[in-house]
Amino acid sequence: MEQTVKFDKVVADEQLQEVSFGVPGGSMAAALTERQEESYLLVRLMLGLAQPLSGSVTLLGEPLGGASEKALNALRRQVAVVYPAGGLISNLKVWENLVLPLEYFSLYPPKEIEERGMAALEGVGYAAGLMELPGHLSLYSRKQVGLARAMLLNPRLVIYDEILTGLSGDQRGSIIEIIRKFHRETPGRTSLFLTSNEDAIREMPVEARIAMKGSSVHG
Amino acid sequence: MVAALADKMISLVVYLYDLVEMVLSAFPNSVSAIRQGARPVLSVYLRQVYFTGLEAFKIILVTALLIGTVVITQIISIAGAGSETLTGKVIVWIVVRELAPLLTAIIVVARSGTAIAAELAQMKIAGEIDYLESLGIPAASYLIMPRILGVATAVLVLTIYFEIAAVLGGFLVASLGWHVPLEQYAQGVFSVLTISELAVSLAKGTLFGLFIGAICCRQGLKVGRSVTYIPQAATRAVMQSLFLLFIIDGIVSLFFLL
Repeated sequence: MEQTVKFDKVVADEQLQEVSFGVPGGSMAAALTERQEESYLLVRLMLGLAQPLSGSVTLLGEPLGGASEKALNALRRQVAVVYPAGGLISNLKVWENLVLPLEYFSLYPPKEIEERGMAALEGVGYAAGLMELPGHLSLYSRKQVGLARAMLLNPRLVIYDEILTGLSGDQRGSIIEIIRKFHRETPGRTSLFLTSNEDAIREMPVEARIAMKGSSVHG
Repeated sequence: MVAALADKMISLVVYLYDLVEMVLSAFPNSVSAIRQGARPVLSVYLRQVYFTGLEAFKIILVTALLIGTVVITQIISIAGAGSETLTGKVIVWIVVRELAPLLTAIIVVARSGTAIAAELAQMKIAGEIDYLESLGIPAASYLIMPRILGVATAVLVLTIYFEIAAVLGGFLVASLGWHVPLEQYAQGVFSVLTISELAVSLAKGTLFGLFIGAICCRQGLKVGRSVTYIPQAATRAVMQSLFLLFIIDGIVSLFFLL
C-alpha cells in the first residue's frame, strides 16, 4: 500500500536524528514522540514548514525537498492538522476560524459554507458561542473547533497532534468517537496521531503503531 | 573598521531591497488573493483601514487644526497684518507639501505601527503563522498584503483629511484673530495648490503607508520564540519606520523639485 507520509533518514534541529518511518495510506496510525515539541516538529516537517538538515520527506507521494511554495500549498490543502490547542487564529472569532479555508479558497458558495460550517460544529458537539474569540474558550472547545475545521476540508490525511492531551475522560471518549466516525466516512483517508503520552496511544483507535527508527523519537 | 562599515552598508541595502520587494509583491499577491477568494483577505484589509484610518481620525483632526493654527499664527507674526494672500500660499507650501503626509505618517506609526508589529509577533510566537500556512494559506497573501495596502489606504485618506482640516483651521484662526477675508485667503491657497503639489503630497502619503506597513509586518514576523521579543519588535518597527519616513520624504521632495 502507498505510504501517505514517508520519512527517510531525516535529521532536523538536533531533536530528530536519522528518523525513518512510513504511514500506510488509509490507516489509523499513531506515533509516540519523546516530547510535545517533537510532535510539532514532525508536523512542520511533514508539511514542508521546516526543512530537514538531511534526509527526505515525502507527503502524499510527493517529495517535499525542492518543491515550490505553490506546490507545497497545494499539498497542504489535502492535509488537515488538529493542533494541541485547536490551531485557531487568536484574532479571529470561532466562526471566522472555522470557515477561513473554505472562504479563502472559495470552495463553496457562501450559503453552502454556512450550512457546512454549522453541520460540522454540530457534528463535534460544539456548544459555545460562534462569535467568541478562541482565547475565551476552554481547551476542549478549541479542539472541537479545530476538529470541525479539519472535517470541513475533507482531507486525504488528518494529523492529530496531542489531540487527547489536557482533556477529561468523557471529553477524550467523545473526541475519539468523532474521529473514528470521520475516518470511516471516506475510504482511503489516513489518520495519524502524534503524542508524547504512552497512555494516550492506548486510548486511540489506532490500527498501526508507527515504529520510528532514530535516536530521538521512539515508536 | 572599514569592513564593519561596509558590512553595515550591505545589510542596510539588503534590508531596503527586502522592504521594496515586500511592498512590490503586495500588488501581485492582492491579485492572486482576489482570484482565489477575496472575502477573508478583504476582511483583514478593511479591519486594517478601520483601525489605522477611522480610529485615528479624531487625533488627525485635532492635530491638523492645531498645526493650521500654529502655522497661520507664525506667518502673520512674521509677515504682519495685510499678508492675507501670503498666509494662504504658505499654508499650502508647509502643510500640504510637507507636514500633512509626514505628521499623518508619524501618528500612524505611533498608533498602528506598534500594534501591527506586536500583533504579528504574538501570532508568530503562538505558532499561528504555521497554523495558517498548514491550511495552505500563505502568510504573505493573507496577513501581510492586506495590512500593507490597508495602512497605505489609511495614510493616504488621513493625509487628505489632515490637509483639509489644517487649511480650514488656519482660515478660521486667521479670520477670527486677524480678520483675514475668505476671498483673499482662498486666492492665496488656490494660486499655489496645483495638481503637482497635490501629487507630491499624495505620493508621499502612499509611499509612507506602504513602507510603514511593510516595516511593521517584517519586524513582527522576524521575532524569535519568546514573548520578550514582542516589545523589541514594536520598538524596532517604530524606529525604522520613522527613519525611513524621513528618507522617503527627502527623496520624493527632491524628485519633484528636479
